[in-house]
Amino acid sequence: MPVLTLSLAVVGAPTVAETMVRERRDVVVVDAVSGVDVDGVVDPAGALLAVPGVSLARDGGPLTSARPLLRGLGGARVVVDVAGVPFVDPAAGIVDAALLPLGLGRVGVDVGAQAGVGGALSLNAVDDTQLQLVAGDLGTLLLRGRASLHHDAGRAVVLVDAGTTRGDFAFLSTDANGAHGLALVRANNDQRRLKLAAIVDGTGPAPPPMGGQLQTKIVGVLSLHEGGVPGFATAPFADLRASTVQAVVGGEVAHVEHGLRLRVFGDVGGSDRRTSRAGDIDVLAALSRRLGVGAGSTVWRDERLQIVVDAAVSGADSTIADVVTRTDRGAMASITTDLDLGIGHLVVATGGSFRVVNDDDNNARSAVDNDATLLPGARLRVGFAHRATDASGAIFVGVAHNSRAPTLDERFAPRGFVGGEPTLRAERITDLEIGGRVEVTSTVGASVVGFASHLDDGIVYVNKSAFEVAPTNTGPARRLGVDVGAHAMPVSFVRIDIAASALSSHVEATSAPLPTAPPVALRTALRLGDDQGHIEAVVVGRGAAPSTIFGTLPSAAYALLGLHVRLPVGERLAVTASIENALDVRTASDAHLLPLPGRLTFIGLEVRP
Amino acid sequence: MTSSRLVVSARMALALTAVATLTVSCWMPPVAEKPTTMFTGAVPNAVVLVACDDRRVAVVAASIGARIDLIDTDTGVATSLLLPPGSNPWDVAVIAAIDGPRAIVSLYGDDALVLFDPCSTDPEVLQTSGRDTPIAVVDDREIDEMLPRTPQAVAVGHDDQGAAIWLAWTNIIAVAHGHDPMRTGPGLLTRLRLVNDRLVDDGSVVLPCKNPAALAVADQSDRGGVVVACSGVFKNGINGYERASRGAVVVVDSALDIVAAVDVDAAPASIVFHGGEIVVGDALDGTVARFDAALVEQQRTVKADGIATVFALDVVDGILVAGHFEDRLVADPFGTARSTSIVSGSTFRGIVDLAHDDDDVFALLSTSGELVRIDRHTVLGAAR
Repeated sequence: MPVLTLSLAVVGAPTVAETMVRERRDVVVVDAVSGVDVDGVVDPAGALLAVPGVSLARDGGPLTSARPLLRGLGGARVVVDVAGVPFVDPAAGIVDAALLPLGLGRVGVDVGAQAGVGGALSLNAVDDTQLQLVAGDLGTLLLRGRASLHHDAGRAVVLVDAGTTRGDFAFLSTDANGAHGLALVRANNDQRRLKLAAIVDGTGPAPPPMGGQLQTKIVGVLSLHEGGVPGFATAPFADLRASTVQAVVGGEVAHVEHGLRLRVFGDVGGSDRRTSRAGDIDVLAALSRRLGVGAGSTVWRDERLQIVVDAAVSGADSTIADVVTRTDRGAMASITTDLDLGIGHLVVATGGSFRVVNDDDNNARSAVDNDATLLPGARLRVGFAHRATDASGAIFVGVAHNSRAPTLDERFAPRGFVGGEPTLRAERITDLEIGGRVEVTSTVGASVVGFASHLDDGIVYVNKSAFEVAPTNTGPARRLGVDVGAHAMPVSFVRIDIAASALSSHVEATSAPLPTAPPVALRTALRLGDDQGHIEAVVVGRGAAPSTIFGTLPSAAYALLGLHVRLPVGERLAVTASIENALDVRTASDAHLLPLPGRLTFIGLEVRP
Repeated sequence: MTSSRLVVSARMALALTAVATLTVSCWMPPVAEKPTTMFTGAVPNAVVLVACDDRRVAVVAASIGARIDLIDTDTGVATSLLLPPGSNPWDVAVIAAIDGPRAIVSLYGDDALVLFDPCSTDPEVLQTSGRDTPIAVVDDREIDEMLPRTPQAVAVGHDDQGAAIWLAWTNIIAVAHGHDPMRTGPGLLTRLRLVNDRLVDDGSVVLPCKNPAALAVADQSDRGGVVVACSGVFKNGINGYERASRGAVVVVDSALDIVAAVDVDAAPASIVFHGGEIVVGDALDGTVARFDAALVEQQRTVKADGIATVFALDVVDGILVAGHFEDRLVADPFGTARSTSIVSGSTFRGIVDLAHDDDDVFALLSTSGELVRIDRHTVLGAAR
């Protein structure tokens, strides 16, 4: 039977999301996942902006941090996995797109709350081999290579992604009216990053006396970063440095027989974040371990009906230790279930999870209430999809309730200027999505998703006193908005892609919008040519976004133009050139008032054997 | 956000009033609403109001924003004096000069002062005076500890030589880290004069205390001197920020002699003269204490739970007003202790300074970057 999905087509790569969903769950599902193909781009994090609802909080300049915001929510609220293995900073939950091995090729982006309170990023590999070399302004050098090896029993994909930049760039500070530029240089901004990733999976007959097949998957990721911390636009730290190590090794072994899939999975992840200024001044190291078992099956499948169920139980623990030799520990037990049905054109996906978290503060500072935190979750998407020869369409309604426990860092960060709050409650979100997409022809399509969410006990860092910042539960908040995507190829060599989003949010405790969340965002791309050779103009814009929880100190709106050229030289070689911020806007700053660089030029070489 | 909506509503009401008035053929021009909330650069630290012809301008030092905002308090229209990154403008004082008022701002990050015309709509730096400031007194301590660093408080007073600009160098060498307390040299106090639009050094004195955070001058002082509030040294303790040394209050006369000093079991971070007494606000326990002219403590308010801070003290209509960082103004803290919460919501914005004109009190909010106007009757209430 045809596999039906309600995957909302990503602009430019309509089939990627469906592929990814099948890769992840091996079943028919209903979702609003968008997929992004990041091959060939200089800035993979920037490619995420092709998904309606995604914005980035950049620290500015090549290879600096780029924290994704999905419908205005980011940080530990966003769940990240690499081929199904969680790639999460176990201490702070920080998600930095520049630390993710996006060069694996495909990124699934769920901007809703079905997979995580703030959405989900799912990284998967493209099965090919390619090499990309880029050199450009600010002494920037990038090397990204991916190799795919196939065998009768499976495949291996390996990624090496390295980059370095001198980083310092000129910008203009602005006065109370957003004018009056003072020429400045963003100094101490050199950055170095290295990302290594490998995915090995295979299928073969199970050894006797077992029958059926054995499926194995091993995933390993190591990300390293070292660089300067220039701080605010107008208050740089002359010598503050930062380094990060984040890694995970995990895998799954599954036995499949008579349609029943039994699996054992586990992973070990860790992170080490340091800031230094003539010696370490802050160290936050963490380790997490997870082990689980699951079972799933396609319990019914015929021409008309398909029912798939899946369930898993897992346990995990995490430990953080900081420079003052204290250790905090958290443990989580988790049960998840999935039930997906396809009945003709109707597609239903449901799921539930129930997690119990218990954290211990081993610092003698104060007594901590160690009552376990319960984290229930549930999701339902119901859709109706129809496909004709050249056209297709789908509509869906999704509801979800999700929650996340405070990170160990949020609860137990050492005292100092930034402290933890042991009594934090879990964040919870209830989310409603209504959307649809239409492919009018094979070359013209559009998608629209409206959403409304209610966030309870949102965790935000605030001043607890004049000398201490710490997280707190701010009570209820809500968001409302619409994400729109469209693509068209009026003639064979012209392609237009649009991703636009509008977001209205309100935090009751402050009567202000969600901090750093832009009310409007837009990415439009006009490409002349085809996948092999083309010239492309991309405009990325964003409305003014408040940089504080009070809705004040807005980062001004901006629109930046990028020009990209890909010129094939023979069958397997291409020369690329890109000019970012081609109009040399020097006053743009991102969500935390950190300035963005002016015009940057990059030249590259792509090899695809 | 709320304030903006209130402003819009008020303007709409004025427009409707104008329409109604026109219908009876009696035109009266609408009166412009004064803004209740004005926006500053990131992390503002100090505000002073200055009269500029028919305008009143708030001079705001925005520390992280590295700029000085000049805000017309009647219209909310602002311009800025942009400063180099990391200069960290900290405190503001205004002095009368032949060509109009001149503002002096201490630059904590640049170890310097900046002089400019606060009434200009296109302000420019007239002078930057920095580490070349000579230190008149050098004792046998290490020279490195004696360098003038990290200026904070600046104030303008008068003596028989005319206007005197007092500048307190906190001389911080390293901030608190881990369990190590902040490292400082001794506090230094420099006096400057304004001569032909230039700041000229007029001597310094080494203070017998650390971290001089605030200055107060008494116009009626027969000594023409200044009183210094020293916060002492801080560290990160097991329960948060705490003192690692005692604070002090020090009186320096116009001859640059230390004429009185007292150690206090507190961390004074703000200071003002009131009723012939010296009043200080504490950085860590939120108390306000008053001392007589001989620096004998007369009274102290009740300590708050946890860390609480009084960074701002002002005297409005003869009544003492304490600005608590936790978004409260307390009028007459030793009497009726009338408390006014300046904003709604459960997260506070951090009062760091106060100023007032004939009608209103202005509170400067650190974490939100706002200058908020409050009717003085609301603040003073029955204490008036």
